[in-house]
Amino acid sequence: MNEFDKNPDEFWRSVFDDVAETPPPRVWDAIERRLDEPDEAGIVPLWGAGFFANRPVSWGMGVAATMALLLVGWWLSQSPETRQPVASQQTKPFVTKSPQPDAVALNQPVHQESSTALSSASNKQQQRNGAGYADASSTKAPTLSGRLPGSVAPAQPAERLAQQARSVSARSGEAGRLSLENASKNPSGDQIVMDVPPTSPAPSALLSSSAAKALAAKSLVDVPEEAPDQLAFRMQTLNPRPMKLRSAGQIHRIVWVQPYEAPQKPALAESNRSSREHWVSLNVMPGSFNPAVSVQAAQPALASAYGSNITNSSQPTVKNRAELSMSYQANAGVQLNDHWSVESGVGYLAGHATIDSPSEPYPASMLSFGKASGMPLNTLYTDVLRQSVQRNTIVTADNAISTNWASASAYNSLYAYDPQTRQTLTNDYQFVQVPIQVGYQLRPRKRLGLALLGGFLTNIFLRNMVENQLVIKPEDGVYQPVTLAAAMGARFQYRSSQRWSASLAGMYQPTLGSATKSSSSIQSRPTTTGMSFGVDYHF
Amino acid sequence: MQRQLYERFAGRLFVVCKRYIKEPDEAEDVLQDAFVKIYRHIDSFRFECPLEAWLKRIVINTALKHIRKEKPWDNTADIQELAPILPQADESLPTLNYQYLLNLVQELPPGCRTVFNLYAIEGYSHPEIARMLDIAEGTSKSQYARARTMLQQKLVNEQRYGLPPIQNE
Repeated sequence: MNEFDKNPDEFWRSVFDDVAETPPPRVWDAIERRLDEPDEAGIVPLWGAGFFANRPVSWGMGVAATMALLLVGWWLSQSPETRQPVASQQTKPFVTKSPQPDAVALNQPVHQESSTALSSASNKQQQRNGAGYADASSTKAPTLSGRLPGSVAPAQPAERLAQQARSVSARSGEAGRLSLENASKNPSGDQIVMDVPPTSPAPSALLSSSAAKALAAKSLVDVPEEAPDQLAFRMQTLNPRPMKLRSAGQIHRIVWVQPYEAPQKPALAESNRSSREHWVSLNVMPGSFNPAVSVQAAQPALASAYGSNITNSSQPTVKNRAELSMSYQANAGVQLNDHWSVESGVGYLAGHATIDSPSEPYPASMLSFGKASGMPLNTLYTDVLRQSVQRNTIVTADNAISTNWASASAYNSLYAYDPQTRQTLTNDYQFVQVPIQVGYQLRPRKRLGLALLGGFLTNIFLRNMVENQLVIKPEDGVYQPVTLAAAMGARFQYRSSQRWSASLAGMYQPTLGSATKSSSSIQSRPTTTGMSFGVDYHF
Repeated sequence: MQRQLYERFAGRLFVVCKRYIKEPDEAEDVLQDAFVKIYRHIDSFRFECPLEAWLKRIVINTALKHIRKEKPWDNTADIQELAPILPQADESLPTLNYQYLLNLVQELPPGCRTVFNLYAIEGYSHPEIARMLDIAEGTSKSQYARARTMLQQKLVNEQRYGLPPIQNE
């Protein structure tokens, strides 16, 4: 009887132990391609049968709906009216009006329009570091017994993974195989036993080191096929068993020669593929723009300077109402790793809002007539706005101090606003925006992704047109030419293909600090809230 | 990291695939599917067993999933029918190489090949194989016996009739 007849299973097991055959390069190419694609398990249509039955989608839709409701609720709570009291020390002479509206031509721009330079931020790429499974430069290979749970000290998972990889590598270089006889001579070292169900026949308990893998694999039989993360089994030290002796008789020797295997070289050249992904996107964000305008009392100083009496007024207020605004952005971004991304770009914000301001006591019919016919606006808001423009003009042009400012004072000193007579004024703001924001992807590599966004938005003020008549420009000195706003929100992204995706984001962008200069009597701190729709192209 | 893992284990796992799948293209597909599955679940590996055993288990499962579509164990031969023809080899077998033996295994009918791999090489028991493949335990036994007989016949025929010598590479 030969070795094959005595133990054919061990014969076959030893044949295929430690043999390797390098797969064709196309296998790795295909794996790489598939790994770059979104997770197949996460493919969910945005419509169609069974869509709402998908738990992640239903949760995602719930979160999106909640966010949308919160945004709408916030918008409604903010937009009706933001009452801003005029300072208590507002003087009577200031809120009066001159019968000759000769101070400022309402539809005449104060200064020539100037160009505004834009700047864009560039992204700085970071080198991505990843822990490898194995360190090829490492020379010390741990023993197989070092992998057994009983002798392995707790370590970082990546290090343990690398250790196992090195162990296997070292073992692959061994010329011979460990036989059953060898194992039996050293029964307490590497021998392990697996727990098997009582109904199952007990497997061969005595194993050599080279058979440990097969035994470990055998222990996984009850693990569901689709859940490799549940690969759990228990190992314990095996009590020594008596060595099995060969039966007496003629011994047929089978000479097994290990076929020469050329050292496995990497079948593929190092891939130059960068794991970083770049994308460009075009976004449109309808939303609300609330300038949060308040009128401050710079009047006491002015009044005292001109010798007027200071009296407390009835504190007329201006009310802000956010209107539908549109923001357009072209962004470019880079995915730093699975979770983090950085993006920047340039955008344009057309913000619309109405401001309800006390006005001169014209009859309502006259107000409506005057509004339609381009009648000069004589409201608290517009007058204070004009005065802020004038004051800054005076500062920059000394030659007009005596005449213009005196005219303005005379203009205001002759008329008092009636809190009961109010006029609604449209405000059309225009900004150029440069966002820089960081995204944290909560569902990396999924077709339906969810990311949290945070960053800053540079708002470059272009102009504000009040009631299509009064145009305030950056050089008028009322608004800060450049303001900074915080940007925060959440974005859903549906990756329809490798290259294209669509995104839906809820954004909240409050301005940090005041959007107007401190010297201005108008104070404003705009806030933009909206839902952004975008199309992305990935490189 | 992914590349290192692949280069380290792809060779051995490819042999596992070829033991179960005869067609080379299909074996490559199975290896590809298995590695994609490995990379997407690598974070669930808990170091409770050797890494290679874990990888091998995934490859075997992927191969079985591929084989299940063909239902290869429908035509089963009873073990008793095959018992009388079991050859008695009493001579030393010539030096064999892995590729030749792999070809012998690949030439087995799919059902026999699957059971033979699971029982003889992976070390599963027949009840375990029956559960894995959703077949009767007797079917597993008969398929294994049939595979063993066929392999033994081929090896004996080689030495008796002087089939082309198998050279080690």
